[in-house]
Amino acid sequence: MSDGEPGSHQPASAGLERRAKVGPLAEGLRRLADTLESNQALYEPIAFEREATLLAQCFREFLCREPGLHQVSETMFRECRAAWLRAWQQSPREMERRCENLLGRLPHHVADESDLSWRLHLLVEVLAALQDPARVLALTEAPDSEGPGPRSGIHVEDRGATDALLLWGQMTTEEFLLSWARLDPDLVRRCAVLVGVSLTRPNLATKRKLHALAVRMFRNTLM
Amino acid sequence: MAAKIWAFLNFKGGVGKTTDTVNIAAILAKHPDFRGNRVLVIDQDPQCNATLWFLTRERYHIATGRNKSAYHLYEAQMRGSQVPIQDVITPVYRDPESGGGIDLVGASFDMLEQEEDPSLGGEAAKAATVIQRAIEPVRNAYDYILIDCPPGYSIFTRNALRAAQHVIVPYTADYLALEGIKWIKQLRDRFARGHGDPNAVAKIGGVIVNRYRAGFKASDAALAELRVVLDQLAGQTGERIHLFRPFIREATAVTKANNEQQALVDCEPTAVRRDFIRVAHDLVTTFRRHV
Repeated sequence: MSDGEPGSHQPASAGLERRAKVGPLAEGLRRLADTLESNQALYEPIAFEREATLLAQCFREFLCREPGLHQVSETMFRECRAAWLRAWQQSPREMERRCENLLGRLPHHVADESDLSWRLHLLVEVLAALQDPARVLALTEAPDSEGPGPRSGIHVEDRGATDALLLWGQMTTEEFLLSWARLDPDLVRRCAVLVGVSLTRPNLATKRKLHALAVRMFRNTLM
Repeated sequence: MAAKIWAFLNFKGGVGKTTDTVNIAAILAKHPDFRGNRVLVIDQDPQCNATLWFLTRERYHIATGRNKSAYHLYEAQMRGSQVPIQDVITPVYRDPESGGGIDLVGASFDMLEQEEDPSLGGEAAKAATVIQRAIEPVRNAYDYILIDCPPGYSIFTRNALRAAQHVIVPYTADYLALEGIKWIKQLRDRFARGHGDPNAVAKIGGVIVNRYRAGFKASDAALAELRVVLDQLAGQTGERIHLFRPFIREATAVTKANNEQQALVDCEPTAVRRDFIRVAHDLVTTFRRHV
């Protein structure tokens, strides 16, 4: 399975010299294929074939699209891929929404293309857009968790948090502090991420700061 | 097919209007994904930044010395006549293989004088259609016409609003740039009301975020505010205002390319170059259906 071509696998001893020529990503791809093949006994033959083909196709596409991303490690890519497929399995609509927010428009789902293949194609698009596997992992976080971190640039789409901030921005500080105990902690955390406040230990000062930033957001967005 | 016409406008200065215009134009004409496009850039800013980016200072003087600038289109209007736009076009780049290329209608510092006479010595409504009338005969000769606007509501901005189909708003993540977007909406609407036909004036097509600093909390908060404002504007107009992706990152490569009078597409591959190419894809896809 050299250079990602299913069915053309060569053992690891095939020659270090040849490996040196093809570069780190192609070598990473071959190692991935090696690993996959060494676990072949654990797979159904058809499932193995499908998996190997998709993996190779995905990485090949990745290589063609983003020559600047050769430094992405094999381990990181595998982690991304596993988290990505898991997130799609758990909440496909939410993942579709997140991808659409990020990419603007989703690539066309060809009629004879499987969901798995399409999702892996999307992974390549998203990796290329975010240019950082860590941010792709953040994108796969469960919808009910804190959501993507501040480096992703995705959370600006968090409408729930935005609406809450705009509401708090119309309250006085006293009203906001009085309502604090009744606030949903997850919502508060997402709002804090949105305006860049650290709320690991919420004290009076950080609560006031969060409110001040909510007031600023309300004022700045007045038409 | 008639060219798509986009005006790059924000009333705040320094948000990347010229950078976006020049780089998107160069990508549309030169990048392998788009090669073969014929692009016309019209510099409407008397500071002539886009003109100086495309031409050297020497070529700028030669061009303006030969009456090849938008100034002469406006001057003709003041004399009650009209100059064919072909007379003021300076070819900047040609790809003989694909047939694509970039043409420029440069600006001139002399336009600063014209700015002081909003009606150009005649009827104000007609003065606002100089560019629109000028490009009409050549619209089929181009795939894209990009207008670089000055940071203000001058006769040149009004001409861009009349000529373009869509306003593309370059934006940097700060409050004043956000105010600039609100002003565009208000002044655009006022201008459209004055004409009695809202469709006679360019619609706000979308926002390009420039100099984005990932992980910089103040930027992210400003972007959240931008999202709110865009939603409110969409609510008022009933039309979605697109937030083009990805956000274009802050990078020294842009300044370097500017100093070398090069478009990023001509420079070595960088992350910010990729951002611009992706934004160009998003722009083309978004407006593909608009005639």
